[in-house]
Amino acid sequence: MRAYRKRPWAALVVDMTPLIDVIFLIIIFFIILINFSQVHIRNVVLPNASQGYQSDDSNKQKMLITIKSKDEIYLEGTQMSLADMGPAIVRKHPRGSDVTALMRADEEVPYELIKLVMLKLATLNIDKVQFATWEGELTPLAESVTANPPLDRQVSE
Amino acid sequence: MKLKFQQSGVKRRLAVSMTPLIDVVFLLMVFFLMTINFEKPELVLENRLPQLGVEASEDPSKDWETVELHIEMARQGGQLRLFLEERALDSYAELLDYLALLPDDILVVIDAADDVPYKHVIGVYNTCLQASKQEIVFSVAG
Repeated sequence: MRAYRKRPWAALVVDMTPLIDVIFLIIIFFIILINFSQVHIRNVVLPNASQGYQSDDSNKQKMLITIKSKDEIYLEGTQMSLADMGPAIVRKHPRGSDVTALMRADEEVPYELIKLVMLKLATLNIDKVQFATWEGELTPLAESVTANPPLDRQVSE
Repeated sequence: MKLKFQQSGVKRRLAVSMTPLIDVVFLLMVFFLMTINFEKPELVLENRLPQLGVEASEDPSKDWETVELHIEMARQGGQLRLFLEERALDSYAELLDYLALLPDDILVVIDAADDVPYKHVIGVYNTCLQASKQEIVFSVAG
């Protein structure tokens, strides 16, 4: 009679517990890290330019103005109307002349809106303005066939 | 009679522990997610706004030298065009050629119509910088 030695045999079992632990840890980490409202504000299609340069922010007091449309103007991440912008700037930067305004405006925004913001800055003695751009070829003038509707019409729509 | 000798060596099953591998993979993933920047690098074009209430003639010696060039941007028959003095231009290349003939210290005034998209105003401003023009202002009239 042949005697077989019984060998201990264990099936390959993948323990999912640490995997799930790590995945959830990562998910929680990124949920805490990402502020979705800021993602929306930063999501702007900037105009292309070839003469732009990397701004040296080390010794400049910056004020970020994001313009997505007539109804979406943000000052330092806070949404506000054009009328409320002046008092808000004065509150944040009482000595206007020391600050540089960084304008991140959508490329399709009508110039009228940019003009009004620049006028507001000028009245508050903020004369240093930077326009945020992306490195790239300029959009040819011929590609702009449809006109932007005037601001008062945009509001009523 | 033939005797069979069975090899009595102990065979061990190769058990691959996945836990440290997954730990390391996820650690690397977190590291790369934190270091990679998905955003396009942003560059800036700088401009100094004229201060309201302060006349440009603070330095009277410069008054007589200032030569202005008005670049008007408006639509003509649905097409966005640039108007310089008596000329109408249809491209940035034409504008660059025109500006190249003018002195660098000329005052360039960009006067865009309200409905002109911002990208084209930046396009004109960019072309003026490309042509080494130092004094560029935006008209806020109208």
